[in-house]
Amino acid sequence: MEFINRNLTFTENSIYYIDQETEETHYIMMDWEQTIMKAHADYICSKGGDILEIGFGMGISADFIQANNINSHTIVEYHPEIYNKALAWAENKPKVNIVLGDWYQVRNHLLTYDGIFYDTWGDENAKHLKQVMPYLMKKNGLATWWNSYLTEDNQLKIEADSYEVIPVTPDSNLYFNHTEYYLPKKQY
Amino acid sequence: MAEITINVTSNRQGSIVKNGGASEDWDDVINASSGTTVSSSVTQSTPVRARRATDRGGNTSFNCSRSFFYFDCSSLPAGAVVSAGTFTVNGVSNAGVNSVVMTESNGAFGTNGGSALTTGDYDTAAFENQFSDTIRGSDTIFAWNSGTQNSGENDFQLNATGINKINNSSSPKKLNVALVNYNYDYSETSPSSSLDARNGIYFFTSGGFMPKLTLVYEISSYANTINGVTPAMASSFDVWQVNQVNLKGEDTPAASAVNGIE
Repeated sequence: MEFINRNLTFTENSIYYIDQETEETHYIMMDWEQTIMKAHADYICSKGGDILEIGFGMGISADFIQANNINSHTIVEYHPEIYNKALAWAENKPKVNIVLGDWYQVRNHLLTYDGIFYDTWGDENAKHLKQVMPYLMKKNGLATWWNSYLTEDNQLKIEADSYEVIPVTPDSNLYFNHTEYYLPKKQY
Repeated sequence: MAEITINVTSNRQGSIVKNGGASEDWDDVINASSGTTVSSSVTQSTPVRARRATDRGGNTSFNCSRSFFYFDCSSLPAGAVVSAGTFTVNGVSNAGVNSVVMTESNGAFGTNGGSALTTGDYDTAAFENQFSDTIRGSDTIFAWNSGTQNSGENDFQLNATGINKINNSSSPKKLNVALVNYNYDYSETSPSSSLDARNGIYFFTSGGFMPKLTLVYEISSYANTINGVTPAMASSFDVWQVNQVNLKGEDTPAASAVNGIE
């Protein structure tokens, strides 16, 4: 079953789904990520301007982005349940634009941005991001993305300018269980 | 001929999973030296599995599970020669996923013949040859690749290789059985896109669904020694005579030929 069709459970500390056939619990985001979400947000907002966030999740990074001095905040969200959460979150927030859909499918409807943060789940089009990213960036724009690797490398194979190593203490999950997080940074 | 049913040894059965790390590909996963023992349960939905998934941030993750069963065949009578055998495992859903049965005789699950399944049995020494690149598959005895897994009983007839594994095993006679995914694990083929191929099966229970081995055997008088008198020998005096002659080094027909045993 594709992720878009999963029924999600939202708690104060996490988002997860249970595979009914295998009875496995799959966490897709947890609140132990606060520190790294802030670092991602602060990096792409360090020059202000127009910000694109691909994947809303628990809205942790969105809150940190809003705490910065920016011109606009565009969020692309694929999963309908999370999209509804994003809409609720955006109420009374000026300059926020929520887009429902697969970022790759809606890419031609997007503009260009000063900062981009990519953090998705189950994205089969992730392999295209390396090629598409330059077309979404303004000159000298800043990009960062979720990194599952425990080295100065990443699953998207985008050559980063640098990595910020952040100590973390993850709760039990199946997607990240290291004690250091290598946050990639790239200026276009 | 006689028949005997042997239940799987309860603490030498179960499944072991290898969850690939973020940067580990399929080869890394299936060639890992150990995995994680899945907590004991009567039924498991993923004990034989090949999985590729896209998770956080577009990361590709792989998981592989293998199941292991140890059969203590010491209850076979002395001199028993197995002529046929059936490995039976009860399936739980997920019908039609291809898996393969593999056998080995001389090892035992648990490190160096230990008493319980261990994480190292994922790539256990008992199956070292079968999992090597050179003769991988030589000891395959049956597969779900030519049929489908049933939700009920699935019977795998041992081929000559499997039967010989028992007959030639060191004392006590034994048989190790592994179930692995056929298309991706056994065939060493990385899934090219997201999938979750799995077989669900019953493990040891006190009920009627436990994995078992049913063996057909006959007592071979050829196996008797000249120094011991047994009922079988008493009824096969001609064979006893041939054995005596052979020990004297004379050129006579083999005892098995005289006795009609191949």
